[in-house]
Amino acid sequence: MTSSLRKAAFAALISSVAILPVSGQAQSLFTNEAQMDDLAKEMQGISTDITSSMQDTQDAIKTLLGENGGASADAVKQYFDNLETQARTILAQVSVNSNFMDALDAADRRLGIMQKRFEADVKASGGEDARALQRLERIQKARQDFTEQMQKVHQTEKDIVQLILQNSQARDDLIIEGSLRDVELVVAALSQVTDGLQDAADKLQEISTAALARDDVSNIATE
Amino acid sequence: MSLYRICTAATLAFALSGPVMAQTEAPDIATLIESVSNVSQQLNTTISDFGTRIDASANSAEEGTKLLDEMIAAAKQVHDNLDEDSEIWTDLNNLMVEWGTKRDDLMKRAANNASLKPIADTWQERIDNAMVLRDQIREQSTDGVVLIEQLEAQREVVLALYDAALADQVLATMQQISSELTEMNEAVGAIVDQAEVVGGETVATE
Repeated sequence: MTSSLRKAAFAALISSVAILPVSGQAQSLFTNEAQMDDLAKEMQGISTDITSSMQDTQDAIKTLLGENGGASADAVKQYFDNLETQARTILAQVSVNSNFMDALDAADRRLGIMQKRFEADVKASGGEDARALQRLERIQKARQDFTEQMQKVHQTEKDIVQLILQNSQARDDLIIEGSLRDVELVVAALSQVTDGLQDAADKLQEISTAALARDDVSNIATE
Repeated sequence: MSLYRICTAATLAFALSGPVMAQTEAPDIATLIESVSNVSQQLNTTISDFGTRIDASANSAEEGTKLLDEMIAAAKQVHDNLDEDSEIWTDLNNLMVEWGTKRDDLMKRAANNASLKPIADTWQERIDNAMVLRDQIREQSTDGVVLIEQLEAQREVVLALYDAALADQVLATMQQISSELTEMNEAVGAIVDQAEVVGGETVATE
């Protein structure tokens, strides 16, 4: 994924949940628009930092290869440390206590309320109202998709934890007493963690794409 | 689920969570289990005599109104105890963050001591179970919002039925409300069961 694509992925992730509509008035899934704006700005800032850091690491890998092992161990250690910092930044965003997860939880609650109301409508009509049935099926599908997206966020959290561990082990194994043990292994380790972080970003992009596909939710209530 | 099971699980988890308890103001799994058990017990106690009271209120608008208000209050109490601002929700989230920190620390130390890896994996498993509990609580909180709306709408209907002296329909509607609260009670019971699963793993590994 290129830096601009990655940047767009994070921005899309945030804007997707921010604009997800829930009712006939196409209102946001979130009750506090200002808070969501702040969250979007915060996430965009983080994505910019991560993009920049990933680029630095990729440049560092090229330099290491070019210099054939001449790079300083301290500089390489710094790359590993930077990757951990960036991984922890993403981890903090997908933590259950984060503003982002609060926003997803709030969105899920509101989708759930819509679903229950539609279920009540269908029950009240004795299952005879075809439009109510269709509306219910659509919201059920939308909610199921949203639930899967939340599960992916949880999986991403677990993946990033593994990446941090992997990064930490590689740093300890490959920089011994201030010297690089094996440049090729260092390059491989840095590349692996960088790729892992990119995979995490890709997963979040998938989540955002799926969330954006929920544009139809806005129309369900009024059909 | 029996009261004995609730008390046993809560007591056991409480007894074995010493290091956590020592931290001032920090949440712990024993308190969480106790809190969700209390919610379940309160609802259970409140709805236990609804059946006989519904029969008694069939021809008394005053009694019926009082009972309806208690039914709605019971649903609101459950919802308030499980919503996004509740202590249970906050404590669960804080616990999961704390467990995540322990998992990360053990994973790091496992690089030099492989025996720590299975313990780190157990913390991950506990977090996964807590995530299921979290989903159940969020779902119940959502259900509660709509149930309260429905109960309030049904309250209006029952009052109109009293006014029209339609005792049979009063009974039928009140029984329907009671049955909805019983369903809520079962869902809260499932939350307690899952909290015990989460707590039980604490017992197994600490």
